[in-house]
Amino acid sequence: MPIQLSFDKSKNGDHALLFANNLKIALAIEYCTKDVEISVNDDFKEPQLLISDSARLFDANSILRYAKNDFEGLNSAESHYSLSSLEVILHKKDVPDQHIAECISKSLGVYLKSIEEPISATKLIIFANTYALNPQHVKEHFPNLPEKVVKALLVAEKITPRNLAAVKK
Amino acid sequence: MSELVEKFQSLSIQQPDTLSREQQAQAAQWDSVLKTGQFQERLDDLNVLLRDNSFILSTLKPTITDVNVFEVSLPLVKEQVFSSKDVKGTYTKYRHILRWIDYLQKLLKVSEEGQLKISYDIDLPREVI
Repeated sequence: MPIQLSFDKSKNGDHALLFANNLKIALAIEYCTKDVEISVNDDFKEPQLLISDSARLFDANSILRYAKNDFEGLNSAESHYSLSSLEVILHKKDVPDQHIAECISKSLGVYLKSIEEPISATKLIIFANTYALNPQHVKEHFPNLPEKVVKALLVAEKITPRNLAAVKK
Repeated sequence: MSELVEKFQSLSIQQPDTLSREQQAQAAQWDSVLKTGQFQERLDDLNVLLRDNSFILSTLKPTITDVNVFEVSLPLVKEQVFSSKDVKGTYTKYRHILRWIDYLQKLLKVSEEGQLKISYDIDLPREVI
């Protein structure tokens, strides 16, 4: 029986956070191992992976790791920075632009020097968080992304609800 | 390494040799919740998880994930219980977390003043699942 996967369509989240979640979920579909069959369930409005009646994942990072079956680097400095710095910014409102710019710069300069296959789940997660914070900057930094990442970006862009604030940006 | 983690490791509780894919994902999920500071928003999810499992990774004995989550949840749930005007309602809402906290705070020998004093006399309504 296929595992049920849902994208983030919640209306109260910031656009960048929704985009990061949806990009990770789209990446989960792209990088899913062959032994797992996933079907998208549009009935749910929040990110989740229903593995069984008693096993549910609501965290997009873990959904990606589960699909890819890649749990390496959980305690790495890269993963810590991705979650404790970049993702915290995605959850917060009114973070100063200068702080965001510094965090993106560190992410690109220290952890995301290249995006080439094979890409670890840890790198995909830090890429998604960085991209969601400043898509333009990351696009300029990586003019040529791997095919699976490009496909996932298209899906995430299509599926993430737009809001007025995002349009203004 | 925190004091509680050190204490837990000194207990020599046998840890599973390997974790299944689901268990590893669950461990990654709670690590993510803690590192992104989203724990308070996920209390209900933790309660449901502990309704169906004795411990977070569906193990028979607590793991390091339980200890890491316990360390954050103890002060938060204590605050919820102390500040609530409806203690019975809070007990009802988080009954599975309270059971889990009660077990872990005794296992880890949390000091008297650090513990959540749990009342066993509150008559909770039957849980509707």
